[in-house]
Amino acid sequence: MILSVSSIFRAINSLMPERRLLGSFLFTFVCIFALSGVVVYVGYNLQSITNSIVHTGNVIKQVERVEFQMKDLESMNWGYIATGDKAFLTSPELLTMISNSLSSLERLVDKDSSLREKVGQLRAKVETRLKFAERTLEIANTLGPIPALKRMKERVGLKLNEEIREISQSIIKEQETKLEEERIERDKKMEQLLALILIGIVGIFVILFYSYVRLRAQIQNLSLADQKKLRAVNSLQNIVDTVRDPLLILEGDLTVISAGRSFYETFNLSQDQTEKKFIYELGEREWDIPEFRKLLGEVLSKKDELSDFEVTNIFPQMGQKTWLVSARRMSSGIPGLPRILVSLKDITERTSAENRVKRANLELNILKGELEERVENRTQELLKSEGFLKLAVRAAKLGLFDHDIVNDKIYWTDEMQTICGFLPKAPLSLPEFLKRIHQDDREKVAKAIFDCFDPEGNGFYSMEHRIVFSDGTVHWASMKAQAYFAGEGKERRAVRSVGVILDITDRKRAEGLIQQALESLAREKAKLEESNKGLERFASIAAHDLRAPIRSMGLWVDMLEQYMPKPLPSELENAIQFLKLNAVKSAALIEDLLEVAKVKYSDIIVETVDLNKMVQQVLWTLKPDLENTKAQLKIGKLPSIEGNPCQLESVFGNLLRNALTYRDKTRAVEISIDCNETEQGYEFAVKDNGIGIDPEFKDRIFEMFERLHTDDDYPGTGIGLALCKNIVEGWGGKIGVTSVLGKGSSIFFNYPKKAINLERKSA
Amino acid sequence: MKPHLMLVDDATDQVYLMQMLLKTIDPEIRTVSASTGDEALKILQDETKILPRVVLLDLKLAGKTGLEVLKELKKDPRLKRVPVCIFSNADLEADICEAYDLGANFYFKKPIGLIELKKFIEYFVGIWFRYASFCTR
Repeated sequence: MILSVSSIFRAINSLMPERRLLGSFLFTFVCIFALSGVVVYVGYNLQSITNSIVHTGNVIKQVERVEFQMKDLESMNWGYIATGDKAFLTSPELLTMISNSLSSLERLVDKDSSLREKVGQLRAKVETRLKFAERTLEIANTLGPIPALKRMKERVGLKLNEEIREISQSIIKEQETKLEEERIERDKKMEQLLALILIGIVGIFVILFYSYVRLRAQIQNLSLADQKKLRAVNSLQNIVDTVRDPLLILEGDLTVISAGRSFYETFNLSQDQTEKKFIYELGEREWDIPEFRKLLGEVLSKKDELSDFEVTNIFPQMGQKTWLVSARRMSSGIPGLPRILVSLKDITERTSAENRVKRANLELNILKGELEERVENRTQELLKSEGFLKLAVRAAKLGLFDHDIVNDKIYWTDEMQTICGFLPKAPLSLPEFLKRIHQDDREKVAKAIFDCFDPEGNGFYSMEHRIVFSDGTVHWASMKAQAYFAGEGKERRAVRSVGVILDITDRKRAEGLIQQALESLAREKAKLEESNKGLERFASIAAHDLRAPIRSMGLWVDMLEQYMPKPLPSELENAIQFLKLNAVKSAALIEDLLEVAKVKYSDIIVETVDLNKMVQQVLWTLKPDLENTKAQLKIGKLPSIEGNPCQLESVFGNLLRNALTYRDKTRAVEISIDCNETEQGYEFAVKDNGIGIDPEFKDRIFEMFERLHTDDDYPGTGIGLALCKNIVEGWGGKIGVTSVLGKGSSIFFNYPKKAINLERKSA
Repeated sequence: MKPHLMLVDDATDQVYLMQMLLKTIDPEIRTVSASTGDEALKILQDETKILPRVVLLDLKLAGKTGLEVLKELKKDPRLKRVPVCIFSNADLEADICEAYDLGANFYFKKPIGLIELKKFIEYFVGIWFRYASFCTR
């Protein structure tokens, strides 16, 4: 049994290698087994009850049979006695039947003691009755029917029969009660069984469903695991493809499973020519090297890897190449079937480089000999040139010094004496030297010197400082020195410094003078700017305050003109007209001055300005004049530039107003605006066909308050073009005019891409 | 009683001229004038007096500036609904923006010339005394 179960387990196990799957299978199996056990038990119970019911029914039947047979006997006796017909004689079969019935009844009730007792009583009565019947028959046979009848009429037989009936009825009744109970019990058991079967079916369904779900999950897991494996294989292939060195994966029998892309490219082989081929068959059998084959065999059987095996051979299209071969055993997933990963590295150049190094070493030795010779020659030359150097140093008034740091002694040349003016003949220590330096510079110089002795630094210093001569005069010197170090690591320190010193007193004096001049100049400039600013502020405030009364004056002149009783004397009329003219003119002047203030002294905001839009805005403000003069405008495509909208508007507005003002009244006005983009910026031109400008006055038109015409001819304040010039030059641009008198003029200006003052102010 | 107009301007001749012109346009419109900001505030804050329909306020005043007066008016819960129109010679953008920020109803630049001024007053009176609706609470 145990053997067979374990063999089943083994079979299941072999079918489903997953242990968890086996668990759920077993669980299902145990559940079904337990369920059927319960069902069998309940079924068995039911069976026994059914048997008992059948038994009880049989008892009843048998008792009834005995009773009927007794009744038959009675009626036959009566029949015989009444008719004398022998046919009514009690047949021996009936007696046998009664006896049979009784004994079978006894057999039935054999196990029930109370019933047995009752059946015993029944048997006794039946036997008594039978004896009585026998006796009666004997009487009838011997004494004739009359005494028999008489005997019959005594009703003893009937009485006995009655008793038999009573006994049998009581048995029947008892048995029927029992039958009823048993039936009820059977029904109950039946219901239980049904319920159990139902529960069983539901349970089995649940278990089946559960198993199905588990199984499905397991299968999915399995397929996921398969996918993972597949991915792993793919990624391995990817790795093999990605690695720059040629790679090969070999089966245990040394056939190629796959190769990296680099392998195909390097050896100019196709996949068909490589895969499923033995490695030593590849190409033109370049890899068919007995030792290599032996080593690969070792990788399979003994060692895990083979490293740095060099293969030098002639390969087609590559010539002689040296390959460094490494191989490593790896698991294929199937036991007993290892795979080998083979990587190849081209070390042809390395080998040749090694050869080159050897050659270079030889050459180096030869060169060394030459060099030693040359150094010898050079030393000779240097000895000669040292003399020149001495001369040069003297000519440059250059002092040289050599500081022995270990013993703290400074040695110097004669020029140093001249420059420093004070040195004794004996060498000096560093503190003694520092004492001679001007006290304001001493600390600075000391720090520079000690910094230069720091082994971490570059050992160089360069200083300009003052030296106080023994006669008290102060001189300037420029000193440069280089320190030299000895020792390694923590022991490393400066041991010597060599440097030069140069007298720069004259240069310093000149520099001081220049500095003084520059400073006083800057002071003057600041003062001037301050007063300029004050003036500008004053002008601006004055203009603001003047505006209201001047306008008011204009209004009152208008009032005068309107409310004076007409007609006026011509003198008064003229006076009013002149008043009015001057009021209008001063109002215009004030407005222009205020525009200057607004454009020049308000905050400079820099933003992207679409000049097309801006020019349209300006034209809108000039609409009345444009309509009056019926001017033809030609405006080219204008750029968007970074600038101050207020200033740009002012420039274009003034130029357009100018063009409209100085129009030639004999012809239709034509005005054009053009723009040229250059590398430095934009060049704009506003051109008109007006009266033009006399070349003589070409420069004057941009001067403040300059006018070429009287107000009677052309009204104006002489501020517009001056303001334009001011603004354009503020950008770092230029403004100018080309004109032909009587034909028209063109005012051009440029806007640099890096407008100077805008950049400064927005920063 | 007809609603009235308040003029705040330090140039008395301007106020006089405006009153003259108003008379020719609609003689029934009364004017109350103040030459400084403090005077204007004093008149307006006097609860016994009826509020003007609209205040025409110059910016350049002696003492408190027009913008300061406007600020105080808009802070006062009783006066904050009185419409205020700025009437100034200057048109600096900063001033215009600040005036509207403080709750001015209009910013007018003073027109140049008598004809223009007269036209302006006609429009102004038309808007404020004929067409505009007001909150009387």
